Amino acid sequence: MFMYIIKRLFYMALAFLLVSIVTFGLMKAAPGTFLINTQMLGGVQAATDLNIPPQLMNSFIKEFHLNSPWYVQYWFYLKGFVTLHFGYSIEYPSLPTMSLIKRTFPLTLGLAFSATVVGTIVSIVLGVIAAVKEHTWVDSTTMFIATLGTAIPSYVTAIVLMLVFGVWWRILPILGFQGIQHYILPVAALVIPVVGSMSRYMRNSLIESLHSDYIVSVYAKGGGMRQAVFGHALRNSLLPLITVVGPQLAGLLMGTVIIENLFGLPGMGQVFANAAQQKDYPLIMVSTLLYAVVIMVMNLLVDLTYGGLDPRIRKIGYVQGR
Amino acid sequence: MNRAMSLNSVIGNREQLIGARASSWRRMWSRLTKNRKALIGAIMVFLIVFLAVFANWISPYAYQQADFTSLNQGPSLSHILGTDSLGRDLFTRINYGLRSVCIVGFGAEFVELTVGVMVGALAAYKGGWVDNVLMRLVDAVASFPSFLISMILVTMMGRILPVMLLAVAATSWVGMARVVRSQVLRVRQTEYIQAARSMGASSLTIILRYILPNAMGPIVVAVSFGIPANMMAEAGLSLVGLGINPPTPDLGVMISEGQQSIMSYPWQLIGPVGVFIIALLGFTFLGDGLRDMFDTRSRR
Amino acid sequence: MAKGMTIAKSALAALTLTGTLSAFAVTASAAPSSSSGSFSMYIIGDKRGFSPDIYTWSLYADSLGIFEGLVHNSDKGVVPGIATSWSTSKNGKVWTFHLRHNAKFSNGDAVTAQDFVFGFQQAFNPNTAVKDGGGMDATAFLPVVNGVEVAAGTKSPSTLGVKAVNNYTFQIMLTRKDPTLIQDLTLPAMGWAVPLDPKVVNSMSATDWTTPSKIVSDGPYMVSSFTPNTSATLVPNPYYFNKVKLKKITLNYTASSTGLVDFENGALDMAIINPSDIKAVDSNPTLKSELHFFPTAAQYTLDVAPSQNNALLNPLVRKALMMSINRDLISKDVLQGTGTPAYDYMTPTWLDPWIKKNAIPYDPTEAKALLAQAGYPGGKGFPTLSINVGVGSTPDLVAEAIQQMWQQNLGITVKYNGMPASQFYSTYNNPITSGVAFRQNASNVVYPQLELPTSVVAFLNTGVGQDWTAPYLPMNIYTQWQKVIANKSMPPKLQQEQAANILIHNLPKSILQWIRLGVKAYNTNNTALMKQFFYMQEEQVFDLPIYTPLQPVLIRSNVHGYKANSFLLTTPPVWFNDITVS
Repeated sequence: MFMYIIKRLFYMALAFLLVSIVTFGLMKAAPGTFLINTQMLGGVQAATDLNIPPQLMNSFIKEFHLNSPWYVQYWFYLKGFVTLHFGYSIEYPSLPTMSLIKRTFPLTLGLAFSATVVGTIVSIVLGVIAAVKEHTWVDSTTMFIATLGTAIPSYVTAIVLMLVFGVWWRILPILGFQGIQHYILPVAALVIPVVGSMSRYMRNSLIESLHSDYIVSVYAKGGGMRQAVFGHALRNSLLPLITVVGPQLAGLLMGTVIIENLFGLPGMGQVFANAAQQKDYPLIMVSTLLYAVVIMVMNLLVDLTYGGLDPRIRKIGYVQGR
Repeated sequence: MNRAMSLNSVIGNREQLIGARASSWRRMWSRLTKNRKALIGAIMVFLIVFLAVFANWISPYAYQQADFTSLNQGPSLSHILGTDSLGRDLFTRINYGLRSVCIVGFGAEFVELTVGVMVGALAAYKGGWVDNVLMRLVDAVASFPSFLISMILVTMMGRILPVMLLAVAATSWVGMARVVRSQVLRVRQTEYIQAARSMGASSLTIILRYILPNAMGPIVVAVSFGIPANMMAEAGLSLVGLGINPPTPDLGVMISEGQQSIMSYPWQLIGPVGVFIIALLGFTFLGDGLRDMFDTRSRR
Repeated sequence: MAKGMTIAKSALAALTLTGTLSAFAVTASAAPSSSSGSFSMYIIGDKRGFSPDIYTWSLYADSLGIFEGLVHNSDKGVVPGIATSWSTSKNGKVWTFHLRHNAKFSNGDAVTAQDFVFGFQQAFNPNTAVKDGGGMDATAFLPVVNGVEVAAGTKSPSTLGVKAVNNYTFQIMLTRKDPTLIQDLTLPAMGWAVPLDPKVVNSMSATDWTTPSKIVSDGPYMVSSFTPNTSATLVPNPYYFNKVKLKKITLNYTASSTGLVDFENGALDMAIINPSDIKAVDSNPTLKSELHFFPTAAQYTLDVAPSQNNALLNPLVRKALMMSINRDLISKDVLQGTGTPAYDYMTPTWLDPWIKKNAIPYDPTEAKALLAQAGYPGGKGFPTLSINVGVGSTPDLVAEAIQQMWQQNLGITVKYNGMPASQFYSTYNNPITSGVAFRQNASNVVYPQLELPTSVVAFLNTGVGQDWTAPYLPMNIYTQWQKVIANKSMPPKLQQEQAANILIHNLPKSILQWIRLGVKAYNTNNTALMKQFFYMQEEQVFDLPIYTPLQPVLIRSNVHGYKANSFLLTTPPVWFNDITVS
């Protein structure tokens, strides 16, 4: 197990390098020099930045080593990230990127995590109901709705939710973030597609377990449906579900970029969307790496949990085919 | 594989083999037509693709043509889905928007398929360190923040169709590579591949002629789920302000415009969203149906 | 030309997010007896914090009642602020302000004349902007002695023409007579003209301006929370010399895709809505009574872009193009009433109604004739015309409409070319390689007197002056000019001289005559000449003014005392402390 973790961490470091090289390469390959974009930040900022004094410009050049060759720039970028010296960005010259992230990232992570938790629980419940009532109208209705859920993107669901709960019934807030109730609609919008796919997964895997030989023997020993499901089959079906949670969380993190924009939530996704539109290179690079690290850590945790639970995998030391 | 087929392959009678194959296709076809979900899905997909491909002929107007005498009109005989804030026909614009969405959806999937098959098949077939290196690459790319990378690509390279297509495909090929690899691993162990290899067939021949056709099922399923995922990603980019440059109509841009007029002119949102959902549902239904067809275990 | 035009390109392009002293008050009411109620409004914001010493959107919030200067605007017009009375010397060049003795900062320190001196010096000092990480304030509205030199860094801030005669007497020394000084002090861009507590500000870092607990201000409200790009909360300044009316004001920097949804949901008590929301609002009597249309000082304009092809340099062509744009239809129908036709870049019709007299009418037939006269009968032979605009997430509807109007009315090929804002600005000065183009420009204008060129060289060095005139240069000269302004290693002063020289020697005579007319109007303070200057620009069609946004704003019916500040595109109230909630 220990060797396995070491190996995984090594692979993670390699993946991290790849992400950093790709983002850095993209930034370098982009048309228009860094400085021109700095002068002409575009959007509402353009006006104020047309007045940027040359001293400030020079401090940018110095901070991002713009007069050095690319590998030096890359080295400082990487070093800065790893040692958590994120510096400043062009859009927020008076706010260290670190404190910007501290302000915004928790909200985004919270959004993604709560959506994962809610999504998993709801999926298990729906999946169990559908599986127990296999081939009845309950099953087919639940699964049809789940299919709709997967097919309709969260940003469309979000608009419908806003109208119904925010405007017609006026029971939930739809703008900004002032408390936990501001989480409800965004999380709901994110959760619905997740539930769609995970509940179907849950149902199928539970049905498979219920049809397997050992469950038949539970029945043979006089056990009932309840015992078969909750005593035995469920446990076996939850295991593979864990493998789905990791990628779902990654997907949710990406989903927050759009959802935060729709609901005006002050999260990292909005910061990134702004940075991308304004071509704020330093901010784009740091946030991309940050997201990548979170996704990698999540995947590692999921694999470790899975490995810890499944004795077969503990031996092989790697989750195959995922 | 069903029993009849494995029997045939053991006997090796060519005619019988062909016959069995044909009957197996026929069986699949009958399974497809019996699978109502897949059939409905296929019809929806056909409809969407038809509208997109023949947008020039079907659409009653030119997509850029403004009519300042009929701004923000509701659905009527002359504009069946209504008009937008410049009096442009929404049905027309949706058709052309579907075209962009389909180009990105299918095009990106084609890229994913090509890259995914190459990487996946090579990894599984060669095994050893090649497999290890390629799969670690796949793992690394899988941990990329995909949507962010797409956004960066579009920001840096411009909001034009080919870029959107590549941006969407850039990271999503890894799923395909994994599917292909696992399928090839499975098929590689079978007797007929061993036989082909013992007869001196080249690796490429074996992969292209024997392995891939037999690994097709899950790949087709992956493709039918991949296309709507690409479409969603494309529309998602429009929603954060990175949609295709006008005047080319784009469903995502139409949705975000429609969102702004939802309170006054709901059809400006309902039209594009409705058609978009039909497209996404069509592929999902089709994919579900195909999976049922190929997946012998869950067949009822 | 008077400055303040720096907002120029940004405002409209960023999509309608971006001010008169004339009356647009919603309702006026008697003040309540103690701070009560809360008010949540939309306002444009940014992330650099509340430093009045850099030019940011938050500076505008500062000017609405977080800080308080000598005088301020209110629902009753210009009223005394920290100054209770003032007088002018005989030659009009020295202004003496007598300050109230009971004004205090939010930390309890007294506001004195020395704090004003310090505040003014900070704003003019270019090092302050560097320290606070932003662009310099628009200080040039105030013709204070040594102002230009201090801002250019050639003289020390201590030489600035401001003086604390004693603790409560503050003096401003001017280089010339300025009859509109008091009015100018209330302009949002003059938000820097406020007292600062040296004790506090000297020890502040740039980041501290985003940290509410470190911000010390002297207005009725102080910042109690701030999330960049999202929202800020204002609470009463406990030491304010007068009654503060509300318990809490929330400034929301974001809004969902339709402000109407936010308003209905209760998230905002003041929301700017989309043009497309108006029909929905009209169908609801309650909402309809809460809808107000506030004029703004931003002008949506199309400028000639530099190009190899000189087709647009022919005034006949520009006139033909102007005549085939139906500005009334754009304002009434395309924008659904959220715009009024504009006739000149710098003079919105609500502020300067006289400008309408010489307006070029919508006349497609005449336009065709003019185009034929210019050598393009039926549009034949006319190069492809692009409309370059910087856009957000949705296309620029007005540009798309103009594209269709030109194509349908003149038979020429017109391309809508929407770009992300950053790309639009970074390629703004690049010459067009094929065909010809207009580029979108938007201004945030002030009084016409302040828009006049102060000298030919000064005008040619403003953003607006350059945008207008440089494309009229022959292409080889244009590239020379572009090289000069892009040269970062040249000392600014030399660079400005060289750039202006190129323009003065190569621009068409008509343009130079026009600028000289403006300078004459400025120097003589002559209204007739001033009007002539603006009329001339209109006749020559140096640019194509399209519309002035008419901001559709929903204000909850229990909110009183909201008078819109029309010099800001987001039309916030002129003074936070005028607002009460019942």
